[in-house]
Amino acid sequence: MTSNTVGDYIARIGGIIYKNVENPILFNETPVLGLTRDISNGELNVTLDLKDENGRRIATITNGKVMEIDSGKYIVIEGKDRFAVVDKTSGRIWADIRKRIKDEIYELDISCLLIIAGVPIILHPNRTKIGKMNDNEPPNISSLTLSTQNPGTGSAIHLKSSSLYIIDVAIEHFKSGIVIEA
Amino acid sequence: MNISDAQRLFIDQVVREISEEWLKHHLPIPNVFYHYTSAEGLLGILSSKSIWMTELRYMNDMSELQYAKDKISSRLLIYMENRDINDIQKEFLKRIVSAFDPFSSGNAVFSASFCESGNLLSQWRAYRGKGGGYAIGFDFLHTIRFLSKRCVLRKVIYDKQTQDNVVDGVIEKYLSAIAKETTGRTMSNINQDDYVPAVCQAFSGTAGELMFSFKHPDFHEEREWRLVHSMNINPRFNRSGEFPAFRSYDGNVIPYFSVSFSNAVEASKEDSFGCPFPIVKLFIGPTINADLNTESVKYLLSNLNPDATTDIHKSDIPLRWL
Repeated sequence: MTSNTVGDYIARIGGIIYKNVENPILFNETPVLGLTRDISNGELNVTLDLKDENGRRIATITNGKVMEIDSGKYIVIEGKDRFAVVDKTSGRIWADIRKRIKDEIYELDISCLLIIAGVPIILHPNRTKIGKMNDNEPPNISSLTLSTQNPGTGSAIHLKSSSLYIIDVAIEHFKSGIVIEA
Repeated sequence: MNISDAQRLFIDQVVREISEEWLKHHLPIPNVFYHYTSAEGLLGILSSKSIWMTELRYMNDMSELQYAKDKISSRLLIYMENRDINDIQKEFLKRIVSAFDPFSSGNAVFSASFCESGNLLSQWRAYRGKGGGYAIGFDFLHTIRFLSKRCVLRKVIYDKQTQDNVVDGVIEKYLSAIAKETTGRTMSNINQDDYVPAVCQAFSGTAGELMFSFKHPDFHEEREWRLVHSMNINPRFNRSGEFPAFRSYDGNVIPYFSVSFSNAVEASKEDSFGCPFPIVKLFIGPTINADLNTESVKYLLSNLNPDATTDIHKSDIPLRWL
């Protein structure tokens, strides 16, 4: 039994801390991933669709479980309260999810590679890059907490046909974290 | 060896089944493995992007392998006294009890030690005499695939009962395989082929795995895991193999291999590869000037990858110089 009302939460997504942000990342007004909470055990989970560069489905992750996977090309590697979806040939890690985290300020850690309408949304374990990759440029925003009143409105970062690299950033209480308009 | 294809397949199947059962003891792997080291060790590891794996017999506690060897021998002796086993099974036990140790024939295990905990008093005490210590927290879920040598991670088993159960399970599996494969045959025609020697060789391989994963229960607090690379280092038998490097320590000549995690560092720089920086956490020991060293360690790590986001913690254990 899951609920889309996750209540108070802290999650790390693409190396960025999101605290009580209703929609961490929106692309053209649609959430790129969903957070849910398991009512029976209180566990915070993620729901997302992984697709490759050509829009072919790699795997579907629903409430923190891999429900469908193209098992010819991809494999699920498991750790302790953790799983990763990995390309068998290249070793590329399409998603790496850690849940039930007890020894950090966050309870869920999500990293994944998303390409939506040709726009790369790189939620790397250590950093978030949107609209660009492997540019070896310094970050646009780093070592910063973006916070507003609780409950907040509006978005912390709004991108309109532009790119972004953020690292060591926390976003708190906004209705939306990063809003991308392509 | 003079055994039939069917016998070979049968032995392989037994080894596979034992291996599957054995691997359950080592799963799931923790998300962080801590390697305790001195300041010199930290600098060496970070500057070379590699870890030294020492031949297990030369590690701090040289009695470790002997403990495991004694454990396996003692369980084999118990089975030898069992009257319910047949002559062929008895012959198998008789042969392996004195010859199961794979390390006596040039096979070697190179290992680096890791802890599940990054802030252990016993470990900090060990490094106090060297000015203080650091615990480097590696995320091996992905990093292990990028290491320069094929390695496995093994959890050290300290519990005596578990050790006994594991060894008994292995012995029984081999005994029942022998019984199944040799039904209707006698010792005289068994001796004409190499079936029993082939099973003995398979057992020796299994015993090797157990030997580097068993440790005396008194060490249980360490919660040790081992990154292990096994190979035959005897050039007489392994002419094309890679040979270890050697270093000296307290008058001893010690074989070791350096295993590089450089490829994992490079992969972590690639945005679209999804690979985390291999060092996810680092504890600074209680006897070190933590504030100053937090900064220098951050510099060191960002030198490997400017986008590294390693969590650096200061140990809060009240251990001081005096």
